[in-house]
Amino acid sequence: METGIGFVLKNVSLGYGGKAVLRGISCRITPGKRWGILGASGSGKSTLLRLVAGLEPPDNGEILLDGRLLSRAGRIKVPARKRRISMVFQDLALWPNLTALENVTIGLGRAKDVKARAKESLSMCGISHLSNRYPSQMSGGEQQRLALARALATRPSYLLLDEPFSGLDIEIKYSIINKIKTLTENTEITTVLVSHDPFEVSSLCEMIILMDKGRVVETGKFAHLLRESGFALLRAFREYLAGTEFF
Amino acid sequence: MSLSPLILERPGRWRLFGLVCIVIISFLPALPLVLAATGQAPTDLFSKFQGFLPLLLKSLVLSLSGAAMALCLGLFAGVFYSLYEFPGRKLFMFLFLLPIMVPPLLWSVGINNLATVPALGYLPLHGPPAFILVTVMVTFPLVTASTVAICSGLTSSQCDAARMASGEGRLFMLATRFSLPPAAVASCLGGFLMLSSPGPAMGLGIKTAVSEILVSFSALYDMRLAAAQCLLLSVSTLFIAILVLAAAGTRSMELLSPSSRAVEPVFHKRMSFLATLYSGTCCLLLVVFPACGLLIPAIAWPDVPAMVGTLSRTLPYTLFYAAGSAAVATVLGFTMAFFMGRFPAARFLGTVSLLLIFSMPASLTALGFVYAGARSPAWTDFMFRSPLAVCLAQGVHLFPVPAVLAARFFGSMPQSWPFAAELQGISLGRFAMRILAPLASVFVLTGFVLTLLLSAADTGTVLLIHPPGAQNLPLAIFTIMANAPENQVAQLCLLYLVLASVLLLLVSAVWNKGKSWKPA
Repeated sequence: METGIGFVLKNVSLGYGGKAVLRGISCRITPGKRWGILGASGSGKSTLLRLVAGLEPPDNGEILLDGRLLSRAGRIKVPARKRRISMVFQDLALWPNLTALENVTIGLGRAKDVKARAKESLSMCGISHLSNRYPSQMSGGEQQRLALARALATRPSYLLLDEPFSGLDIEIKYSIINKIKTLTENTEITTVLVSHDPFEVSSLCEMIILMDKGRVVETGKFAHLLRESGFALLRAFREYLAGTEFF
Repeated sequence: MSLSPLILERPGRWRLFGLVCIVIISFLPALPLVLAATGQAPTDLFSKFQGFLPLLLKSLVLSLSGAAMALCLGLFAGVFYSLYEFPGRKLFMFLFLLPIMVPPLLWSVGINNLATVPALGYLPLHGPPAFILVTVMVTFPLVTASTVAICSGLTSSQCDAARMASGEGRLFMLATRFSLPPAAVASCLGGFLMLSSPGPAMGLGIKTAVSEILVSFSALYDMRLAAAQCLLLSVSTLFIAILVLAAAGTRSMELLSPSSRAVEPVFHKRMSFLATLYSGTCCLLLVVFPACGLLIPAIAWPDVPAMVGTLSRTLPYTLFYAAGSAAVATVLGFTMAFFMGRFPAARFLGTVSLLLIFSMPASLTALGFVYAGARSPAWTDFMFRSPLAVCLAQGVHLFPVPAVLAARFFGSMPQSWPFAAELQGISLGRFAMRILAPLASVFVLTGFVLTLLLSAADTGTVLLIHPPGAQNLPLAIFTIMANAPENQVAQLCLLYLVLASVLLLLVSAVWNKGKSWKPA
């Protein structure tokens, strides 16, 4: 296994009930960077993330991590739990019958330092004082931080974020984005954010994959593509930024 | 190697295989009997059926008339409950559910007692009209509960949009139309429940198909004739059930829909007043009035020693049959729901199977046990000729009730939960024990207690397969009904009603507590 290559997707396709969702995707997600996958609703972004995470196998193609084959057509070779990946879901997937601390510890096995690691993770996300609360007793922003703490507690190499900021007000959203930035810079975790919102992507990501109708349209540095790309979402964002008179 | 929680979200043929296995298990007890019954010469059967066919037709007409009336009444009651807040709303629902939680036989005893009151002589409380009234009483809760379940699929914003566009009356009619197909299926099931229950007909002194089956079995000792009659009854109910299901189409699947975005009832001056009036009238007619028939003689001439004697003799078996059946049904129901998962094709197939299984007369399974017991070696007696046989027979018939609840649980579980568990490295066992089991416990307990009450209310199965001397309370009431004094029967019925009410209160308390465990 060679480190430094990251995820490589080769001609990956997937369909549900005869309808193609991903069509021959080939791209690379290099480690140590903050990646964004940007596309309109229904473009296949979240599906792509699930394939990378190992939650589903592709119908065709191969997915490799640092040269090691993870999945190929119809088969998952390395299960999700062994990929050193964590994910924050759109609905956060917090378990309502467990406290904040239990939500984090349950995924850490039976090691001796489980509680300490969980508390450290809660503390990193600024919610250590809420460790005995249930998710229903927390605000939207606190729940978001808990989901992030849970994802970081397993010390992953890759952190996948599946549109986790929808429904949050702008203040909380950008405080969490800044938190993620700081945490990932300190821990060298590769982040992959899936979003349809160029504002979110521009705030967090350095690299970007643009998707449309199940295909990868362009890949590259966000700043470069923002200037050059003809991709509809980025063009609209560019025009918006140009026309804005707030600043 | 530990199993992955992702199995919960994985489609595959194994789900279909699991579903088919459970459906086969539920039909298995009746299979040898059905084969034996269908093996008879057609001419022989035809001559024996000459007296049975008119009875079957009469029973169908009476049961379905009652079911149709219950549909008309229960549909509105369910919509009122779902859309509006009104005084006594929860109490009314509790009282509405009571008639199905006790043997229908009790209500026929109550109505019989009322018929002897001179002041009520002008009311049609005898024979077929009384049977229809009992059918309405038993079917009304099923229709109301299923309407409430369907309406929980409506969202507050949908209702607000309808309100703003066309007003409260139009919203009420839209919600009624939305709930009609599954409510019609539920009313049909209620009708079938009465069709296969021997108690009410015997209590009211009328002959029906199922009472004729009992005569063939226990008086004529003609097992094959009883089986053939039961089979004909089953074919008729299945035929009607298939017609109703076809008419309801995929809307019957709404019974399994999760209710996480359920509409919140609102207070509306005019509609809330109407809801109170309507619910109060239904409650008086269908619960309070027949219950008075039990209350008056029981209080007027109490006979406590007789009541205590019967209760102490029958209580252990009542509890054993009910709890055993509920345990079998709950295990089967949750297994079935696991195989259905959240996959539309599996859920559709599962729903249709569950409704068809529930529409089969319970006496067919019971006779199947008797038939198998008579032809099996002695070592199988523990299964076919013991109290366990009652539990198994009732369990395989009633498991659709917990299955529907379990399917609603699995349907409301977010897809991201197993995904998150897998990524966190949590095994299926740990996920099931730490997360699913505590959250499903409300559904398990509710399904268990509802099945417990329904199985205790089913006198037909116990009558056919209970071992000698192992009577339960409803069967004891059934046995002494014809000869014992009116007050003795009435006070036993009343006692049963009180016990069932306590259990129903427990269910509602557990259910309301469970509502706090919603996904974050």
